[in-house]
Amino acid sequence: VTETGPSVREALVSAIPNLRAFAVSLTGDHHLASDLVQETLLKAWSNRDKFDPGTNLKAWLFTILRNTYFSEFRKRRREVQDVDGEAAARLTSPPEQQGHLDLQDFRRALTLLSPDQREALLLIGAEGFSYEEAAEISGCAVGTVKSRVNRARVRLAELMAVGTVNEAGSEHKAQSMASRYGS
Amino acid sequence: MQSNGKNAGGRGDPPGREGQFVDPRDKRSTADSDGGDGHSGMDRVAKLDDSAQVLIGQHLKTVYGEIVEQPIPDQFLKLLEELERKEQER
Repeated sequence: VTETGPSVREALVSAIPNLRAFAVSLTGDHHLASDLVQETLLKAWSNRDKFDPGTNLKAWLFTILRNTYFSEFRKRRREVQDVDGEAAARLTSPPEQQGHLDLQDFRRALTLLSPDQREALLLIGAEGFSYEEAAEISGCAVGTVKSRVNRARVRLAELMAVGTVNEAGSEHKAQSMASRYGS
Repeated sequence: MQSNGKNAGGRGDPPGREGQFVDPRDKRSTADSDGGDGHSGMDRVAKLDDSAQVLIGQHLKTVYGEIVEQPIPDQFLKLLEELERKEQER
């Protein structure tokens, strides 16, 4: 072990805020998310000799976390599915401002996506991984990530009822505008 | 559908001219070029207008950022300190 650079512990600590955000957003449940982060840290610690220092530590940790979730934790989530609504509600901080109502809707909408779509959206849209990194983390093709992100965005827009526009729809809109303002 | 341009004209050989100027590549099915990269489904998904995209992106970063900004729970700090201490004791 070379003692240059930050210690393994320090490196892991610095990744915790993002691991938590990913876990909470992915599971929609604070208790489950805590267990998931803890499990991830334990696995990372005991496998730290397998980490290649030349690569991205955060991506490595996210891979451990999502694999743990999809292989072990989703069963547990199914058991508590009837309190999903409550769990989603607990995620929200008290609505001090009106603007928070929008965000509450958004959090709830996020829990209604399929886990695959939610994962892809979080990795790309929230965490800012590249499509290539996200594909590596999720163990799927880059095209699959793109497709999932796209579907997630469309579904969220539907759930929040902010304009989903297909081409026929916008043509129709343009036409009715034309007939209203034409002649 | 007709905007392809590739198959405009030259498609149906008039009867009686078989064997003339037939490029064997024309027989190739377009279906065999599927790279299987998962793009195929995207065309069927409705397109989002820009303002919806922007709004979703902003909401996502806000709700995610709120969690990132929260203080690190003690349990995780203690866990890692414990692991490090055990390591050093060995």
